[in-house]
Amino acid sequence: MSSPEEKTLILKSSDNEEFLVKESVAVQCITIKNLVEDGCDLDAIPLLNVDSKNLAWIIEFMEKYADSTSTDAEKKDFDTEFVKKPFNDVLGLILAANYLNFPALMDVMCDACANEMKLWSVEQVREKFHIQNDYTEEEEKAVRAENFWAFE
Amino acid sequence: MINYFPEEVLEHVFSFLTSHRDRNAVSLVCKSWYNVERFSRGKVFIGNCYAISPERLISRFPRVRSLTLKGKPHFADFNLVLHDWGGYVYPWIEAMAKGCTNLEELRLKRMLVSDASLELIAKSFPNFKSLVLVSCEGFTTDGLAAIASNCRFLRELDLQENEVEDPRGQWLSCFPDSCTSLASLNFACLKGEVNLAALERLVARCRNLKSLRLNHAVPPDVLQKILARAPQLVDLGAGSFVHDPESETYNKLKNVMQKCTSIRSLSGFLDVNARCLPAIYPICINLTSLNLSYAPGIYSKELVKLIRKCKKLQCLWILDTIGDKGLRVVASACKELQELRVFKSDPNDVGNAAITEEGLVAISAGCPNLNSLLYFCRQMTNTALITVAKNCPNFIRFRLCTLDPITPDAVTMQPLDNGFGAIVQSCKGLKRLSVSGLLTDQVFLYIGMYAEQLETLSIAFAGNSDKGMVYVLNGCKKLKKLEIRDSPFGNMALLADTGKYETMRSLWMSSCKVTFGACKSLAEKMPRLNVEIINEGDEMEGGSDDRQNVEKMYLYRTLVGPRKDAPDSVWTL
Repeated sequence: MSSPEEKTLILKSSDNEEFLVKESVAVQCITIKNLVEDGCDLDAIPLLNVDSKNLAWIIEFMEKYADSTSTDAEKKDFDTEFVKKPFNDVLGLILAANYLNFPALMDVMCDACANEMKLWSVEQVREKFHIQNDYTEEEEKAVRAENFWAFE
Repeated sequence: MINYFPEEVLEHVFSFLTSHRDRNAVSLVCKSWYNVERFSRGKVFIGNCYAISPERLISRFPRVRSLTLKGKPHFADFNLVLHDWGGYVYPWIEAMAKGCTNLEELRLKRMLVSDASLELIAKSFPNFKSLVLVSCEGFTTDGLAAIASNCRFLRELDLQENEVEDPRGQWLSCFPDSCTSLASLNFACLKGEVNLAALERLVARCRNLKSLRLNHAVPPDVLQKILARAPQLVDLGAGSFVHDPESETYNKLKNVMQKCTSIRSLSGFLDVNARCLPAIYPICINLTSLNLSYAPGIYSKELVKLIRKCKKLQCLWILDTIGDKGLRVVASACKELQELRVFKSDPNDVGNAAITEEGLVAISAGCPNLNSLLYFCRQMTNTALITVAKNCPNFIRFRLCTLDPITPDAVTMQPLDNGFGAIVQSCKGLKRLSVSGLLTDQVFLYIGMYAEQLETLSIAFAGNSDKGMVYVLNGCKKLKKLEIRDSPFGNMALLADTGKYETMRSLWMSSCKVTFGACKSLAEKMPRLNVEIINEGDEMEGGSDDRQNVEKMYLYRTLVGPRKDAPDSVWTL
């Protein structure tokens, strides 16, 4: 009987690609950890909301973070490079990290997202997030006034 | 895809946006973002407590955990604002005690804080952790006793420059034995005695104590015992440092100081025997911040010996007793200096040469990282300011104060317009500026032209005509606070661009040439400004003459109309 540390899981993306990952690495995703602890004995764990593009990245991140030989400084450098992706991919990874309940990845990606937002105007934020402005002109003026007059 | 961004995910992204500016921006994106943001904003900053009401604060940010409030205008520091002008914190506490009991942190500046307010805080907020009071008044140590007794998780009690009545002196004993959470305690501004045994016991049981600033009533032998118990301190404000350097106590103090290798910030020395200073020599090399502005007993020679050892200093506050010579030593020893404040010492201390432009030039040449300056000096020259501007283009705060407010260039006897012009032209990131010396409208032309990031401007005894003020109002697009005293600006300037005041936090004008009539007409035109006239005498009772000059005017934008707590001597037009 192989010890749990050596056990390998098969993770299947929404587009049916299969990825082999050590269990000890994969359980950084609490969703997966729960499945394993509940005694899930499927051949492959289907991740219905994560496509292969995102899953490949997530596994890359998981393996870096599970590696006990990487220092904090190395992880920081890795993070800096890792988040250099088109913004839509950043958002995609956030949603995937949320679905998989992967706190470390969630923090890194949300921080990266916030850092981008800090550089943008309100209009740019709306554009990048594909959000319709539902304020009337009056309402927006009132919020701006309250923000700048009271809370800044 | 983005429509599927669940609220908790959005909240998680927002949690990395900590500045109020960023959070304000996010609230404007759309209504659902406004709501997610407002329920998750924990830290709120209110720069003028009369710009909004406590009720509106709570209704917008019901989960506020940390609140910063500012009350009186800055010139209150120079005794230009009546004690009871306003800035009462009680209504804010009362409202939050009803609607927002999560409050953990309260930071107040220039507010009136009663003992009743402190007692209400102590009673109403079970998770209260941090109280920071800067330049506040209205409370006694009884109020502090209430905080000490009841706030079980208190982490920080920081009193800076407050006027506090100290009738009983037992507040320190009110920290229960179960209180072990204190990380920061600053009572340097208290005038009265403290229970020294209680202090020692408190320090001994608060293993997380990192910052401790004592008042003058704590003698060196107690300091020595405290340091022995708290070698983990990072920030120390010594109280009294007067002792016989031949004594056993002094020896013990010297030994224990050597072990305090974590101390990075040193202040206090409210009473000091300069011969005792060698006790702190061992820790000088680690210091990044040194404040000796309350230590008048240290003469230039000892000061210089001390500072020579502080090679890592980034922030230095001293008195002008250091002299130009001493500043040259700072320039050669403290290469990493970023902030320098040189305060004026007691004018009755004869033998103080005060400082001149030479000291400043030396500092600018030696300390390339300098970005923040407060400099009280006897004289200044344009050449010096131009040199400083060239050497240090990174100034964010530049406040100059000549002892004679209208002193000209000491060499050429010309106004100092060009010198300040060089500063604003070179320092593209300048946010705060105080000008001083003989100055004409020309300096304001330069400020309006070049000071693009300027947010706060202080003017005293400067300018020739309305044009000066108009240059500033027209040019400085990011201006938030303008405070003017004793300058010949009048109605034309005040009324030139009334819309501008809605883009600023406040305007203060005292001993200028604005008349009652002009202030009235401004108030009529701009209903969203509170235009307050502060009258100390009773010249303007009932029917006032529109043509009469107003002694003090303070106006500010507000969302909640005229305030109801103004004393009789303050009129809102």
